[in-house]
Amino acid sequence: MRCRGLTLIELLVALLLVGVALGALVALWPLGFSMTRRSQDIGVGYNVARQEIERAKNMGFLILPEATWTTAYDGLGNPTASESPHFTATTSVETIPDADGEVHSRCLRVLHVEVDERDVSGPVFESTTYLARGGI
Amino acid sequence: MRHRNPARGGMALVLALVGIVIVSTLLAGALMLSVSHMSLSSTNSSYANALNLAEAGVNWEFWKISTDVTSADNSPATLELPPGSGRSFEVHVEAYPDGGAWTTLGPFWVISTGTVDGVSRTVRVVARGYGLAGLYALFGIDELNVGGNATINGAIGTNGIVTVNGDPTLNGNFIYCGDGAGGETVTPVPPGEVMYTPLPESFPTVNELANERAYEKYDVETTLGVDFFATSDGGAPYNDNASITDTYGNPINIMNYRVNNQTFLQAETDQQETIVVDGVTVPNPLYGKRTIVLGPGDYYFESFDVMGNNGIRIDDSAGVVNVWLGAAGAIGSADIIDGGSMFFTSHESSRFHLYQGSKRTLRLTGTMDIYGSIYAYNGPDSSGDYYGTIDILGDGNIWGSVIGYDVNKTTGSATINFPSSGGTGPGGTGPGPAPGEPIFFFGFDQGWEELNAL
Repeated sequence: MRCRGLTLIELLVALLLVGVALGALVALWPLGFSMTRRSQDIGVGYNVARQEIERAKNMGFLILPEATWTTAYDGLGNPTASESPHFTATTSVETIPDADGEVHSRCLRVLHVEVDERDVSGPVFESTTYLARGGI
Repeated sequence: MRHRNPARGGMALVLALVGIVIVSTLLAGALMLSVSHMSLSSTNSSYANALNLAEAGVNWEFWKISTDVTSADNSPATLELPPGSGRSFEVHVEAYPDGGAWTTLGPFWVISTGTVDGVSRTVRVVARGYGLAGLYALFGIDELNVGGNATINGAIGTNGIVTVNGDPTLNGNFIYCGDGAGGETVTPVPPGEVMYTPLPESFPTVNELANERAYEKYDVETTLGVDFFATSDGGAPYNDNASITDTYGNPINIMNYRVNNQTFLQAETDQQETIVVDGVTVPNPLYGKRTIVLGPGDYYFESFDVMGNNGIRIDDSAGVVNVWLGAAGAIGSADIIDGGSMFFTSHESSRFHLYQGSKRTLRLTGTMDIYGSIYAYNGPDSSGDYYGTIDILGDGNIWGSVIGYDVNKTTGSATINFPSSGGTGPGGTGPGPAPGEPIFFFGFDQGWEELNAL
């Protein structure tokens, strides 16, 4: 019995379909890569934020300055001195005035941390918490 | 003649379609992995944020109760943080350890749930009030004048201006609190150091402490402040003045809330040569004086002069003695405690508190040992001003804390020692201030735990 080969048309159509499929696959790689990287950034981001919150709390409620400061972190969430760090954590402390408009040691303080990634617009993570004298 | 095999026709397309299905499946799997990874990160992010919010709720409750002890949330209170963000915490308090409503000033649970994007976490801590212990030996809220040959053993601070005269010995940290603190340079003895804090220190006023005490002792919510102790519930006064006796148990009538020579003339001369202090028999320094006795309780006076052949025995071996001086904002001659005219049957500094709620200067003169804290900070008056002046002019020893709006230690060689060995302040293991002790704020005690953790 003699087997007959594929026709040229069959081959071209098949190659076209496979090409379209592979093209779609390749086109989705950046999306998948981007999502994976974003996931990783979020994961590191909230740990960086937690570090900043704990660091602020460890300064002590009375000593903690009324200020905004930034800290640089690498892609793994380690502090770095790099001028172009992977992550930048911006921490701010603000005291809510009392009913008379005064700020003092018995007021509530707001601690806000925002973590930004170098190549992404908008924060990868941000969190706000309250601090009080004698609090946790 | 050539024939096509129908079974073989279109095989390439079939193979291509099979290949596409396989590739699509792999693609879909990879995308699902990315999406699920993203979703996991997002959930973890919310999970972390929910914890921060839960802790925010705990701290918010501490702040709220410290501001007004009657405002504790025995029912859950919910707050968005930041407002309008959809992120929130729900917090309430329960009595510790039995649960139920927290209506006393004892230990309590704070239970707070933070919720972010449907993810909730709940934390629970044990909290309590904190008193003077562990705070300052000496604090001048508006003005601090340290002089003579005084020795201060403990932290010293001010929100205002420091003036140093003479050669005081400062064995503790000196803390400038807030931007308004300044004045002369001080040099604590190492390891004491000069410190700066960004916020001015805030103390409750005598009125606020009196309101808190009214709630604690009489279950009365009042805004009368120190003047509350001059009122009554029908015929029963909100003070313990009627329990004052001489050393023989004879009642002493405190006329018009004034403690002066007329008061002491009602008392028999104290003929006890010895007296028991913390279980130890010692010579009675008030021997031969007309002595009145203040046992555990809250006393209210509108003038207070103890000097010469008159004496007061603070019988605080069995409980806390609080002396409230009013009326709030009243002016007049100084209230004077002269050397050797007060004697304490306990050397536990947390057992005695002298609160000056009026504008009269509280003046300590001569040589004596005071085991307790002296507090003169009240207001605001009708002009919105705060007040309270303490002058320490003698050579005595104060085993406690001295806190006033204006504190002047200008002459003599008095020693202020604080905290005492019996303190139960922050970091201590005690149950917190005993009933009757002032509470300056409420905060974390022990036992951070997450409920229903994953």
